[in-house]
Amino acid sequence: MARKRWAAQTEPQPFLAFVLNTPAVGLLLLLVVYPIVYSFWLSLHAYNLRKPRQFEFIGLDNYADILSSGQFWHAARVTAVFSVGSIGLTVVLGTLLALLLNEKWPGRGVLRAVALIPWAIPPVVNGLVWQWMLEGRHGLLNYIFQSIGLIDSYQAWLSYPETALPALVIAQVWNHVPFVAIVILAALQTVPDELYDSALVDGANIFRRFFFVTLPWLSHALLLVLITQTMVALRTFDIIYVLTGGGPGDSTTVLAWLTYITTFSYTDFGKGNAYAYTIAVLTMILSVFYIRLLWKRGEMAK
Amino acid sequence: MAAVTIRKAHKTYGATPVLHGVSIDIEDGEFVVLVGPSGCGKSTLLRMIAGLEHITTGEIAIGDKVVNTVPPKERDIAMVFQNYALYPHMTVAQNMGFALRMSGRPKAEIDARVRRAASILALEPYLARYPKQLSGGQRQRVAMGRAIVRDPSVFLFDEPLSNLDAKLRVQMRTEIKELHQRLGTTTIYVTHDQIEAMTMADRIVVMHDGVIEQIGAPLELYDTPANTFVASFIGSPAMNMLKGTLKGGDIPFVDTGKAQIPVPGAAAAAVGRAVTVGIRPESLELAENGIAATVVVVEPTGAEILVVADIGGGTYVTAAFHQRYALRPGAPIHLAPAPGQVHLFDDETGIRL
Ligand SMILES: Nc1ncnc2c1ncn2[C@@H]1O[C@H](COP(=O)(O)OP(=O)(O)O)[C@@H](O)[C@H]1O
Ligand SMILES: [Mg+2]
Repeated sequence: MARKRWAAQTEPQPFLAFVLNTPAVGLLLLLVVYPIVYSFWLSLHAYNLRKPRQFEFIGLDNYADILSSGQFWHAARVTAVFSVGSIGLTVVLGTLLALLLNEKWPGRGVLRAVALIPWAIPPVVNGLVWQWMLEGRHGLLNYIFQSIGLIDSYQAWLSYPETALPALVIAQVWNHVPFVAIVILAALQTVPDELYDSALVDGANIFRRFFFVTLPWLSHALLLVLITQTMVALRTFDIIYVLTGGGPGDSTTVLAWLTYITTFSYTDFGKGNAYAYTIAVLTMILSVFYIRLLWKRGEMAK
Repeated sequence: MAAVTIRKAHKTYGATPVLHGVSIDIEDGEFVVLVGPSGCGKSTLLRMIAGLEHITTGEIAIGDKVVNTVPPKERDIAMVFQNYALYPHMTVAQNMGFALRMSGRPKAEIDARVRRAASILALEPYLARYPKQLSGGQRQRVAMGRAIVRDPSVFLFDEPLSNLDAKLRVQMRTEIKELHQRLGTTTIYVTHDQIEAMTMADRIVVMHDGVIEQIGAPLELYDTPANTFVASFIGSPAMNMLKGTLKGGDIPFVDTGKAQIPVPGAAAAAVGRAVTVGIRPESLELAENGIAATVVVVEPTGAEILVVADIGGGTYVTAAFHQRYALRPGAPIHLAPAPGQVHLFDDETGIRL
C-alpha cells in the first residue's frame, strides 16, 4: 500500500503544474523578457543621459537615423569583413582540426585535451593574451616573425588599419576554433565506418570520400556551428575593447562596438538600443538564410 | 565472373590471431556461404577478399590474379553490408549509380544501367527517394541494386538479412538465391544463421575460431558432419549428443551409462573408445523398447511435434515426430534411433569415426 502513494499520478494536475513552474517562469520573465522588451521600448525614444529629463517617444526615428548614417554603414562593412573572415577561418580550421583529431595517431589524446584550452579562456582574457602576443616592442609574434625572417623590424600591429583588423580576426579565430572542432569531431564520430568501406569498394578516393560521405554527414553540425559563430562574430565586443578600442580611427569599429560607444560614451540610450536591435535582427536574418541553405541537405542524413 | 581462391590466409590484429590459415577454392559462378558463430572471423575473411582488410600472410586470388596488394576498387567486386551502408544524402538512383560515377562512366550509361538494375529488383518507383524514406526491406534491395549495377565478378554479402524481420528474411533469402540463379555471378555470403546457409548455398564453409571445420554441400554437412562442432551447429533443433563408450558384440553399441544405443557397422577398431554419439531429433522414433525416457515438454510446431524427454539424470534429448502423437509431460516413452542414422565421434578430438 505504501508503494502505491509513490506511483505516478496519471490524472493531469494543471494547478500543480502552474504552481511548480511559476518561480522559474517568473525568473525568466524578470531576467530575460523584461530587459528585452524594455530595451526595445527605449529604442523607440529619444533618451540621452545628458538630458535625462527629456524622454520622448519618437517611433522608429532612431532606426531611420541609424540606417541613414555613414557611421552605421561603415561599421556594418567592418563587421562584415570581420565576420566573414573570422567565421570562415574558424569553421575551416575547426573542421580541419576535428579531422586531424579524429584520425588514429600517437599523441591524439594529448592534442584533444590541449586543443580545448583556448575555448576555456574568457574572451577578455583572450584579448589580453593577444595584446601581449601582438605587442609592438616585446610581443611574441614580432619575435617569431623576425626570427623566421618575415619582418625586418618589430611592428605595432594594432596601430595600423591594415593589420589591426586581421589581428582581431586571428585573436577571435584562436578563441573559437576549439568549439567548432569539438562539435565537428562529435559529428565525425557518428559517421558509420560502413559508409567509408562502401565508398572504398565503390572506388572513391580519399577526397571523394570526404566530399561524398563526410561532408554531407556534417551538414547539421556545420549549420549549428555557422549559426553560433555568426552570433558570436556579430556580437564581438570584448577583444575589441581590450585590443583596439575600435581604432585606429574607426577601422575596427564593428556594430557591437558602435552600440557600446553610442550607449556608454555618448550616453545615447535610445539610439544605442536601436543599434542592439539592429544587430539582433541581422543575426536572425542570417540564421534563417543558413537554415534554408543547409537544413534540407542535413535532413536527408538522419 | 571469376573464381576465388584463398590459400592459407592468416590474419592477426596486433598480436591477436583471428584467422589461422584458411584455404577455400570457390568456383566461378558458385554460391558459397561462410557460416559460423559470431566472432569466428567470417567478416574478417570477407573483408580480406574485398580488400578492406590487409592479408597478414597467405594469398587471395580473384580469377587468375593474386589480389593481396590490389586496392578494393580494382578487384571488380561489389559488397552488400549488414547495415546497407546507403549514402543517406543521395537518392536511390544516385546510390545505385555511385560506383559507376566514381569510375567516370557517361551519365547516359549510368542511367540506363541503374534503370535496368532497378527493374530487376522492382525498385523503379523508389528511384527518386532517399534511403530514410524506405522500409528496411527496400533499403536492403537498394543495397543489392547498388551491387548488381556494377556487374562485378564477385558479390560479397556480409549478413545482409540480419536486420530484417523473420518473414522478410525468408522472402529476401529466396530473392537473393533467385538473383544468383539469374545472374550466375560468383557469390560469397556471410551469415551466422545456419538455416540461411543451408537454404541458399551451393557449398557451405563452416568456420569456428578462425579455422575451417568443414566445407561441403548443405546436405553433405547435414548427413555426414566431419566433427561434433559441425554436427551440433548445422540443423535445427540441434543434434542430440551423448557421451559413452563403444562396446563390441554382434551389433556394436554405445553405452552411455543410462542407455545403450546400437551402432550397426561401427568400426571394430574403435571398440572400447570413449565416444560421442550424435542423433538428429528426426532420427528418433517411438519404439516398444529402446531408450527409456520421460516426456518433459511437448512443442507442436504444426508440421511436426518436438518432444523434449529426460533419459535419466537430467540428460535431455529432443525428438521430432511427424505424427501427431498425443503425449503429455511426465509420460514414459521409449525412443530408438532409426537404423543407420547414428553419428559417432571420437570423444577427445570430436572427429567423426
Ligand atoms: N579491427 C579489429 N581489431 C581487433 N580485433 C578485431 C578487429 N576486427 C575484428 N576483430 C576480432 O576478430 C574476430 C573475428 O571478427 P569478425 O570477423 O568480425 O567475426 P564474425 O564476422 O565472424 O562475427 C573477433 O574476435 C573480433 O573481436
Ligand atoms: Mg561479422
